[in-house]
Amino acid sequence: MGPGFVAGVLGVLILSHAAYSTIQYRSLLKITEEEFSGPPINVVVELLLGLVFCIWAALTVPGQFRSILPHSEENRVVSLPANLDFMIFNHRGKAFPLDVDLKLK
Amino acid sequence: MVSKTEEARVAVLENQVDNGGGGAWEYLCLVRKLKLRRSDKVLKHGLSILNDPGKRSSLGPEEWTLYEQVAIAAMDCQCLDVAKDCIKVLQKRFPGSKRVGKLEAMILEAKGSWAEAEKAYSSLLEDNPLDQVILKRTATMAKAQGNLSGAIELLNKYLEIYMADQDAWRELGEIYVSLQMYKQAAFCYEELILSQPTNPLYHLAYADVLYTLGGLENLQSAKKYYASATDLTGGKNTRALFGICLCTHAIGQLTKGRNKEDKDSSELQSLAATALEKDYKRIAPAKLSSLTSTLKSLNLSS
Amino acid sequence: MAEDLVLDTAIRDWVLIPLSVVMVLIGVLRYFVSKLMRSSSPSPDPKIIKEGQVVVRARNLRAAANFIPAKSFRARKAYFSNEENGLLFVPKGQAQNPQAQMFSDPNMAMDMMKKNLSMIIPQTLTFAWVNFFFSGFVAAKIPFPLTQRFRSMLQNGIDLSTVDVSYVSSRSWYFLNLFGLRGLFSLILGEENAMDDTQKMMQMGGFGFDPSKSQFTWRVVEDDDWVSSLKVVGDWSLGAEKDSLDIVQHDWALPKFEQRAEAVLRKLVSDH
Repeated sequence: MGPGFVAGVLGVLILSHAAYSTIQYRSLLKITEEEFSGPPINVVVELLLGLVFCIWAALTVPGQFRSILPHSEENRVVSLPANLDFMIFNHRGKAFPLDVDLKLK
Repeated sequence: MVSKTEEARVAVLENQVDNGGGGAWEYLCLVRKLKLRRSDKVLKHGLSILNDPGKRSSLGPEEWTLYEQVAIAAMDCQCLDVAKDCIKVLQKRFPGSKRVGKLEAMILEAKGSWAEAEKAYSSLLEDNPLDQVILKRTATMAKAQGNLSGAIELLNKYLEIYMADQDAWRELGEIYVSLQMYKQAAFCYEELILSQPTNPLYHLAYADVLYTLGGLENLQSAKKYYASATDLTGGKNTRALFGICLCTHAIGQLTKGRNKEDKDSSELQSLAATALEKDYKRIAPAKLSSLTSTLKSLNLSS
Repeated sequence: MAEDLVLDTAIRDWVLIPLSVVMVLIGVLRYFVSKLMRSSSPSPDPKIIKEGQVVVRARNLRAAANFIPAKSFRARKAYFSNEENGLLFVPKGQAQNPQAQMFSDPNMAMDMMKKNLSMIIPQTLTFAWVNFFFSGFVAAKIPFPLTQRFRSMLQNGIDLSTVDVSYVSSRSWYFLNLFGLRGLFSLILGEENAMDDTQKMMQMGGFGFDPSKSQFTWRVVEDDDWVSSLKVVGDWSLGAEKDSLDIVQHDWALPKFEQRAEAVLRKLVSDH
């Protein structure tokens, strides 16, 4: 619930308000029998504002951005997975059995 | 591939689980996802989940995956009784399943009764002669018995069909290296580089093989692959840095007296040497003197 | 709106709800019937698996050609695409079209027929039933206004252009159910069971062969769809892959890496 989330909620609210006012405007135009050429300027401003808020929220809320570069510190490959399909049991671990007695009940 | 973040995550979880904190299931999932071989820990923590009916039933269908994971880990730790019990549970739940059949054959393998295991695998193969897992297991069994040439033969047969299987190429390459058949190993590593060109570890392994093969051309290629491994790891891979130094030295030895002009064309090796010195100074100051003497013997120390 | 239509509650009780319930029940029934009819998965043909793998490997080669030395690349290219026995080379006469291949294998034709039968028969029957009993009247109203374009979707079977678009005819309600119940089926029958035919078609497009998929799973009945999808891919993609491999120019990228490594190291050394 950071500021980004609040901005997102605000942005969605603004967008829905813009949609509502456009519908109102269109029904008004229908009554006065004028052609619809575009939403009024304050609705456009409202839309842009909502867009900015939504973009901000979408960029900050879901999580941190990660690097896609293979040599960046967090993506650096440090080891290969053990090749488990080719795991062999005939190894020196045989000579050192686990001393704890484990049992499936 | 295990990346730095994932490695750190595993270390944190392992520490937490070992010291009695929660998150055992998460740890086991991560181990399974990253295909790590931590059999003793998997056995211990997996059993602690399986022996607790509440925890076990909360897993839902994942429960059976855990049984399998624990069974294999138990085989790896030679706790064959535990493995047998796990397999029995699975058998009850999935009668006639081939995956359980594979586990049963694996336990024979772990016991060391090779002939019986072989029989079990071949009966499984009768139903489906192209089963990837079983085919891989037969090759592995040959390797476990020390029959490396047999393993190579089986792997080659397997790769004839499943030629996009990276794991098999990797295994084959490793076997070839252990038999000192470097040319063949180089082919395997080329195949791995083709499938994952951005994985520095494959570049490194290929460079190692080329360096071992020797010869001017191979050494020069090896140096290039060490350089690419250095680039892809951001200069953090000590082995690649040493590789650059050694390759430069070996090339210098081979071209001694001949063309001198391209020897000075790059300062890669001196940079690598400096980077090594810096790393040693930071991480292992006690070993710095032996490093400098080594580098000096390679005529690289600045 | 002034010209609101009043819908009889009997329509709700005797058309809307029964129709939906019947659709759900038919979906469930169809799932079980197709499960019964599914033949046990035949062991896949090694040739087909191999073709899929060859395509994957050739694609890897094409994508990462610059990372291996020229000699190795040439050897592999010859191995894949020489005109005598290259892996990607399909002799002219042998390249059958997928349909002929499909019918040459009676098992596969049988499978297709079973699948189609379990799809088509119940659909035609229910459609006939809906058409016979419930055609030509409004069955529901959706609570929001829609534009005229939705008329053909929502008022199928009513030829009136003056009715508000938010009214749904009974036949359209049938179609909405037919396509809209997928999510419900995935809830009732489990995730993978609701896989419908459109998804299967899409999978055929996504060719290649994922080795991880062939690992056997805990499902008792194996899904053999990937095998049949591979069959369709078959020869066609081999030829296409060969053509694109033929035009790949090899330009070894590794010499560039020396300079890049130098830059990286220089930065590393000069830092702090």
